[in-house]
Amino acid sequence: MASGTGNCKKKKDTESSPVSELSDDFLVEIFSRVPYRSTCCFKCVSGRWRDLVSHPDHRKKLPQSTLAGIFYQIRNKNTGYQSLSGNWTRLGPNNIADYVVCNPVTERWVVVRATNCSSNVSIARLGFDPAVSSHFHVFQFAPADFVGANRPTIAGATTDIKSVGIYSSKAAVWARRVGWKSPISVRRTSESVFFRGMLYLSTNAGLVIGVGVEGNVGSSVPL
Amino acid sequence: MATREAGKKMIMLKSPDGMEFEVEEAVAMESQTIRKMIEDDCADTAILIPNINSKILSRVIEYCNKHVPTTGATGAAASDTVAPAALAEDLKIWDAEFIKVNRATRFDLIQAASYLNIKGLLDLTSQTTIDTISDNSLEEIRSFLSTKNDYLPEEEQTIRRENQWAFQ
Repeated sequence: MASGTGNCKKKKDTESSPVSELSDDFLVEIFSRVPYRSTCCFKCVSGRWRDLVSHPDHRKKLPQSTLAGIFYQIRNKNTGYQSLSGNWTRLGPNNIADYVVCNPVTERWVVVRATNCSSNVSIARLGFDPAVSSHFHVFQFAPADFVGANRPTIAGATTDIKSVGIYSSKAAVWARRVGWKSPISVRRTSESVFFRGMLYLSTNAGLVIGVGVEGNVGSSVPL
Repeated sequence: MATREAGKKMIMLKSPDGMEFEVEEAVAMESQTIRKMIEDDCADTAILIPNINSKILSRVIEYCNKHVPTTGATGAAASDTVAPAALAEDLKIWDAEFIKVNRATRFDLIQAASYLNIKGLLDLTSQTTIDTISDNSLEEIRSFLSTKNDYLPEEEQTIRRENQWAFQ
């Protein structure tokens, strides 16, 4: 972008010697020395800075938010909570739980209202990657894609999931509810990881399935 | 040209504008880039330092001269001999003076420290830069670091909204 658009024309620094732009290496050096919060500010400086901060190659060097996020569960409105980080199971059928997503870095929390389907949910997971975006997604997996159905298999160590509802903090709504034909059997305590916009869950069939933030069930990888 | 003078190996550094600087090998090896060249035996004649003019190179050498560990004749493994606190304090004051340069020179020093990979100088220049830009607005950061804002207005709006919390 050679010629200044309206947005770029800002008061010139008085010392207007044509200082060449700093090298990527040096900028990464700078980014690695400031707190995580500052790197988020720096992302707003320019697209180049944002790309440097977000680049996977630099991730190891750069400060990360110390905890990716914590889920709390409020049971029966306020009778206790359970803390967890990314690996959490609902406890029983009668807890119409809202989700509270906390970010320890910002010391902020957001209540995500439960949906009609929430009482059917057998597995809920948080999808959050601070290196990519400050937005998060909540994935709730349910045994059937519809409301109201009597709650089958709510107890037990494993559950057959047939649908996923996804909350997007960017849109601030439960944006997706996607069902699929054949149920996938997973342990309630199934390990999961959110990586590059996909939530990966291990299934009982010895597969790892990836679920995108659009509800698309992507790759399944045999273990 | 590696010559010997009072038992100390000397290295010739050349800037692209034709100036030559003869420095002790130990001083030159404060730069990891040069150290690697020497260790890989690529440096029996003078070493040309591209992109760093004589004015900046002389300042860099000045820095390295000041910071080269003062070791006994044994040299090896003496790098972390305990420096007396007074000496460290003295170095700190010296550094603070050293970096009092105009912006253009500071940037040239940054590029040089980066290219030559001189950790101490990189630390010093980065920290000074961070001190200057922290608590500044985006506009001030852009202006100070001559960084173009290549966002479209709506893009900038979006990314600022996403990271709004970090500004509070």
